[in-house]
Amino acid sequence: MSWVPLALRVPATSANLGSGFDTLGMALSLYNVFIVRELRENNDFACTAVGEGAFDLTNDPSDNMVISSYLKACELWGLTPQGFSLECHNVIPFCRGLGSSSTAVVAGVALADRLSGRRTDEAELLRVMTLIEGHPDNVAPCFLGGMVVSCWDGKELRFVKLPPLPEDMYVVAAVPDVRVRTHDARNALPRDVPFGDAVFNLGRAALLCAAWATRQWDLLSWGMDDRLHQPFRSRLFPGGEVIMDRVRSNTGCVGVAISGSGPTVVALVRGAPSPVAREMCRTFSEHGVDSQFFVLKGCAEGMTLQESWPAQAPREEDGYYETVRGGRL
Amino acid sequence: MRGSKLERIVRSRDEARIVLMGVPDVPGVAATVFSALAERDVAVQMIVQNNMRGGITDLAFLVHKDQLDDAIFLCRQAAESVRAQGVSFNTEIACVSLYGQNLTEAADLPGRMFAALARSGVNIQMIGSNALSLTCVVAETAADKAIEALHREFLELFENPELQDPQ
Repeated sequence: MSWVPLALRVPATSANLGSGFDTLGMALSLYNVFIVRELRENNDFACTAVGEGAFDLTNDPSDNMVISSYLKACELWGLTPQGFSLECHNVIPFCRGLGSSSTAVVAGVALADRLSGRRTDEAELLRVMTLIEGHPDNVAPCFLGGMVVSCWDGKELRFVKLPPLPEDMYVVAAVPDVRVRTHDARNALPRDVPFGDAVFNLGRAALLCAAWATRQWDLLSWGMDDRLHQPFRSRLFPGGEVIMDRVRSNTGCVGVAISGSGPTVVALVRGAPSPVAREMCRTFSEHGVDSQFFVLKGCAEGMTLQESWPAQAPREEDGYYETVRGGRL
Repeated sequence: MRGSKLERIVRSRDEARIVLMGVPDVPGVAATVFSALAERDVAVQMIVQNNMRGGITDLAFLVHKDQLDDAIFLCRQAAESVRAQGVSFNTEIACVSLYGQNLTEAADLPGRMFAALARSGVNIQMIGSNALSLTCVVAETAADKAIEALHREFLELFENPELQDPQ
């Protein structure tokens, strides 16, 4: 059977954004790429992983989250699973709160739809993705792109996609070289919250969504404030308890939050991003942790499919090589 | 160390590391990235391209911290234009270098340098070498430890110049 490699480019996501615990998420311009190199017999899979997390992953298809999500979607839709060989090129830091696992779920469900020729509508694809992931705040923006407000009752999903970030706004993500275990992140949260804190977050989340929808970006710093999860989860990684206040005081920083359940910290920045980024990484260093940072934009398109790989070479008519010809070197 | 001469051990904290990740391994990509940086006069050093796997590779290099904002802007733009998977940055690094003459002739030099750093628990993030220098990029917090380890390792060469023979 002839087969053109199929590549899925799936973005990182930052969920919660402070007050929007379990309901807000934003797609970011950092991508895992999953390539289906060849088709195999039904139920016959092979996989390799390179990059982030490859040390933790085996090449056993039964351990691969893209394939397990694919199989789950096939089961839910009553499909016989077409086998394939898969390459996972991971650059989204693993277990750091940037939605790495959601990229695998989104890719797996999208592949089940694509390889079966089922042409499933967007709402059903998202419903199955959420069912597999257990919550919508990463998979929804990951699949749809942009900033998404989503609610899930365990069976059905409702969501709204908000306008993109302005061109001059960056999302600086500082990623420390430590992991927060999901189990610890969940256990850190209180079983009950004081009524006053609930009201505090209700107001902030409503303000965040309204400000975003009406592009009143100067209100984000208020809107991203939180009392439900960040005060507890910031204790789970070195520097977490001081980094937010330090970053918030930087000129150009319009909002700061723990990404997902951490330990990555994201700051929305207007103007030069490096002072904010360096402050974040310096804080981690002072607390004995190495870190790296990303300067990202919102990803408007979400997951994309590309029916050839590798991509085409840059073309001279697009303006490449001009400086070289100009003789600066 | 026959045929070469080690002259100095140097530390620098002025650089930032940039990695373009998941770059399509096709002709013209490196030209796109470094031509864009050249247009804004952003100087680069220690350019390292990883082995290609599955048509995708990584491209890492260092820039001066003073030029980081220009580099961030240009690298992001270049990454988008070549459909790279992302760009990461690290400012909390230091370069520790051995400088000298004909260092590529000293077969034992890289092994001794890396072993000295390893014994001190210093992890190496990047390596670059040429005839005049052998440089390791390490975490900034490990820079002092790295320099101490290298001084210990190569002290005898500075104290006994007859051990080195650049001829």
